Amino acid sequence: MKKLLTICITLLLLATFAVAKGGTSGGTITKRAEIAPDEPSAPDCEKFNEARNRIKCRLEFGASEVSVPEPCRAIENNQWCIDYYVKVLPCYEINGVAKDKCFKDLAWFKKKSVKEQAKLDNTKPIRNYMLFVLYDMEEMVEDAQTAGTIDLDTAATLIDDIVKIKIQVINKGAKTEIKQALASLKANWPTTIQ
Amino acid sequence: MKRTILIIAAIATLIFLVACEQQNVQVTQQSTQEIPAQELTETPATTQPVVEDEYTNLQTAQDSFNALDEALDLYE
Repeated sequence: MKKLLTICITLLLLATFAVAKGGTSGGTITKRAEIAPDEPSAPDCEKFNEARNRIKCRLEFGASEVSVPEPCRAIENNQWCIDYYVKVLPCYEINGVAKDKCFKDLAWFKKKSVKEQAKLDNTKPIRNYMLFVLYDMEEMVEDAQTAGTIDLDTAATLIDDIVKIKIQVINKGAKTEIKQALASLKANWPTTIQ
Repeated sequence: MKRTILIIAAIATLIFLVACEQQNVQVTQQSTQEIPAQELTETPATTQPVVEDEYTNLQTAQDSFNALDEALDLYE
């Protein structure tokens, strides 16, 4: 009984300190705000009206609380969207083909490639996959900003742009508009983020 | 006497082996020559076309952009 209690407490402690990826656009915490006693407290990023400012705030100060992911805020009945954000987190810990498989499994792919999957069902699985890949690109931006490769403002703008594309995808936006937004993201993508 | 028998046996084996080898070469040449060119071209293909259904290697930002472009082209 005592042993079981010790294990439970250890697991609880580990869960408290768990740090997951994908935090600057809301959702699970990437970087918990660490405030020294003599420093003024970090701002509540949720108080900013614009998504870009909330993103910039989270990049700068870290997220202190778990919040609803930015793209999920744009839709009603968004629990499925929030759930997806949690489920996909382990995929960002892996790379290459394994990461792609992880995304596609979660996106309900029945085939390995987008091309073959589209022959079976070119709706929700493809959209989900696009959301996961876009989320992955947010990670690249966050990592580049943390490494000092790009500045805070550039990172906030890029993530905001990615979030806007994700909202278009979630809302089944016009293909031409998404293409345009993606082309713009590509054009603004820093060469330093490979 | 015993030595002579052994030498004869060895020579006979050698002749037999050379004869077999020549026969083999002839058979091979014959079989190559006898395949009509027409038959080669007219044989229907029995193998299925290769279906490329593979996962994407997501390593770089460019890989992600490519994956998004492909998905966007095909999604409804």
